[in-house]
Amino acid sequence: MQRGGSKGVSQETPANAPRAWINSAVHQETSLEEAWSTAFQSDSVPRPTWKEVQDTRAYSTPRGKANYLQLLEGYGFRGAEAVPNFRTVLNDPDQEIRRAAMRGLGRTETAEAESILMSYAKDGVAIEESTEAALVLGQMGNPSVTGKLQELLRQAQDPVLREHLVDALAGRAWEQTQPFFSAHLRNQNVPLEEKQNALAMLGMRDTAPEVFLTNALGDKREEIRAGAYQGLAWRNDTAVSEKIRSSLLRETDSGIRSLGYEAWGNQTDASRGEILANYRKETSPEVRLRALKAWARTYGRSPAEGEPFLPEAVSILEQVAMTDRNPGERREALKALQATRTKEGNDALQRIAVGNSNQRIRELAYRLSLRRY
Amino acid sequence: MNIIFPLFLFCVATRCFAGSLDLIEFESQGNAPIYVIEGDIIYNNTINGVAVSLNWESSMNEATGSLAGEGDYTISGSVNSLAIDWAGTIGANMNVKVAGSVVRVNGKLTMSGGGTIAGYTLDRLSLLYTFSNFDLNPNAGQMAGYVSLKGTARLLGRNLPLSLPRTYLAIDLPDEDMNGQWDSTGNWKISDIDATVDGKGKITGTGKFAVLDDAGASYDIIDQKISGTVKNGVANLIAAGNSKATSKIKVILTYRESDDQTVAKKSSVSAYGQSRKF
Repeated sequence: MQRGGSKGVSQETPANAPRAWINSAVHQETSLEEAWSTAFQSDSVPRPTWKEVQDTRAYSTPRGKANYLQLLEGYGFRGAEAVPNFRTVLNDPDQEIRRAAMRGLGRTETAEAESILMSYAKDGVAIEESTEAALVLGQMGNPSVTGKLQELLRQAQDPVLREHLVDALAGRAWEQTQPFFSAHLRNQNVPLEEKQNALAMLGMRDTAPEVFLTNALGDKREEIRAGAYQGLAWRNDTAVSEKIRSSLLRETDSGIRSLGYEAWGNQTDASRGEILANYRKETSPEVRLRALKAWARTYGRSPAEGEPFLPEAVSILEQVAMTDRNPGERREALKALQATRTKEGNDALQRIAVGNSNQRIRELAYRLSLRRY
Repeated sequence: MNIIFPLFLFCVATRCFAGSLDLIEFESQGNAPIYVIEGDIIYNNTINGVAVSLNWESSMNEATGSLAGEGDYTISGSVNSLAIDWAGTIGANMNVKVAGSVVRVNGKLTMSGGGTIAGYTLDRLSLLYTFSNFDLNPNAGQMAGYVSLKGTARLLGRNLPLSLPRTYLAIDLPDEDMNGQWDSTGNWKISDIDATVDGKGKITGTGKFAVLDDAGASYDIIDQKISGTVKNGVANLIAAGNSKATSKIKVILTYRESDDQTVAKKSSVSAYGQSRKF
């Protein structure tokens, strides 16, 4: 990569770097971006020739097969010229190879590939392949694919395929999917579990605006609110603590309340004082642990000297990690201890690493205690 | 499939007498694997002179299958003659979904921190990687798929955007044995079943569920409550987690009393976010 502005100036020391370099870095925003991109793109799939793909086909180990599948998939970056060969590979007796061919087809970004994949994303096709086709379609760039996925969903009956079609749609641009998802949530014929998954995936994919998720918190059905909490727990850079806090007031189910705290702890505007106040009111051990974890995450983002609740929080979390009969809850406690990013939390992890009755918990605590805090 | 069934119920015609289900152990034999992605995930690579090292601790929720991780990264070297030295923390949130025999991992990995570029200080580095449909490859001990990146670096008071188009990434699953191989077999078992059958064929009791590694050691032992019925020579046994947090960890076994064999496609297992029929 030759970029004059950056290349020439990089040999200067910071002290005497010419103004030109600063201008380059600050104003030529692509210079840094491209530098970063170069560093990582070189690890991407190359655009192998068909012969190069075929040369790796005589694999004898699982890693060798993985390499073949990677090259086969990467061959799709060659575009339309690759489609005929992919058509042939789709007849391979090995399903893993056929699925890699589907992913390669998606990389071609051709109308022909769309058509082939649509013929697979249907009921009656092996579920591994129908879902693969659905997910690959979801990653294709042509905006018209969005409508095609919706049509496939209208036809699909298998709940697993439907879930994957919704996942595929959730990753597409919100401008294309907003009418669909708004109608999907209102559709009486759509199972609640599917709606819950849709909201969670929209959060995970960072596609729907946060208001779409917070509006769902007002729904009368628990499954919808659960999906909204899950989405808000996944979504990046959201600041809707107040909406989550007030929504939690109506929740009576401990599972939903737990999800609520997962979402609350993910908010950039979360107040540990408010979380603590809510924590004090909780009675279910499961919910209290999630509330503590939310508090720990919030505290860990901006630790303050002399936080009076910290010793109590660490003590409670350590007790859960040592004594809870459910190892999953012990794990949650370990993660919360680490999330405090404090010496106190780390010391507790070290004690748990030595004294826990569960070997897996001891191992996890030990590894977590090695992290920086 | 290894089933140890004692004589637990005596039936004459359609009438059943109460009995004890004092020992049943059911161990899967790979036809319905449940995978646990847990441990230290390490990615080291040198790309065009830039050393990239990611290391995060992955733990998996046995009920939901969600993966959470915390760790560190370092990126150092020279890019386009610009010396870079970045470091910071990693947070990972992922989940798994099953379709037939395929397990796919989706999620996010955030990297924050700072460092220098050409001697200048990055005030902040905030990166978000999105993992889309990573295929779990148990045989190769990897999960592989495409990641995309967006983020910002704050340099000299300016926020510079960073992005990366879809890029292939193969990540070794956590080492679990001395040879550095991922050894999760996906095997699981229900053990220590202590149950009774009443005169109406109703089964009640307790048991334990565990996913096993290659050495036969359990990842977690989940207490189960046992319920079910025996009717017309077919037993339908349900083992489900005995708390709200673990209630989705469930095994349903449907088997014939005559030969202790499961009825094809009438049994299932759900754990770690994965459900399988067998």
